[in-house]
Amino acid sequence: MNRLALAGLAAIFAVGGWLIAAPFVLHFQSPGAPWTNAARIDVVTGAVLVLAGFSGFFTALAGRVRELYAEAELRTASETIPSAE
Amino acid sequence: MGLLARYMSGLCVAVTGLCASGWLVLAPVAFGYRGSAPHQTAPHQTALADRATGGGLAVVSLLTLIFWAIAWRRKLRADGVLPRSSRRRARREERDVRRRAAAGQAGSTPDPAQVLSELRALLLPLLAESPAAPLLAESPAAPAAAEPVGALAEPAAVPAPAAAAEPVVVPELHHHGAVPEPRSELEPARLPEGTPEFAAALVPVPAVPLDQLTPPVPSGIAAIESMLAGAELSMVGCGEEEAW
Repeated sequence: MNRLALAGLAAIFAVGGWLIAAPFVLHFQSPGAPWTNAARIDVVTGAVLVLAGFSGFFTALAGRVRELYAEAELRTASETIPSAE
Repeated sequence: MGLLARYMSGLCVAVTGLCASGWLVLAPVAFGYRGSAPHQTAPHQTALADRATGGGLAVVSLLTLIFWAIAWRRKLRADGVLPRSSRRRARREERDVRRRAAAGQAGSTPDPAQVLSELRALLLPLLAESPAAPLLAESPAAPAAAEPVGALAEPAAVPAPAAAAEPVVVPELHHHGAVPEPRSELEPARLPEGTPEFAAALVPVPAVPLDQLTPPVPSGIAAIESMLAGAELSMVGCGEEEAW
């Protein structure tokens, strides 16, 4: 479930990237021409999604790594206590 | 805080994605670049791209939100913050516990003192039927009222000659200075009649009718075993094996 949730965040990041690139890929924003409303909205929305997806993905990943460290510490402590006894 | 930040960030990003998808679906209408006319090809493409992207983003964000909610819920259950079972299951378990408690009150644990007294009442006839009774019945000293019944003073110190006279059966019911052998409580001690040791060992005691005799009190290992058995039974009656 954690992997799926992380994959969802990565997908949101990818959608943001697609929104930034879409006006240029679909050619409804000519290079050098003044920006249309549609292109501006897409790029701004895409940038917000990219930023949110990136920060959310790495925050969640860092939390998962912290959890793994805590579990490893607990496991090590529980293994050392019986051996000490 | 770290744990909270992890799940909260996931949920926040998912909610942001949902909001963005709604904005993408509504933006062509709000900014007037729907482009339904045939000559407006670029705005039509833009609106289509925005709606398609908004729809896909809505699905992805919704799934992400659900996944993060499930993951957080599982973590909270694993940490014991939330109950491990669902509400319906918890209600059912609570009902079972209540029913069990009511049944337990109806057939409650018996009082240990009562169990011990009942046990004593059950054991008394068995003690009366112990091997001491036939010995007492066969003893020549029993029917005679004035005839003395002796107790053994030092059974180990007295040598038993092989060609002695007819031995006298002396049931050891009263411990007058004698140290009983283990498990030899009810065995008859034999002394040669007519010897000075026999005369010294005989101590006159008032005769007691057989039906008024109390059952023999166990001593030595037999006493310890009986005490252990009683303690074990009381322990089982209390249902507190850990206390033992």
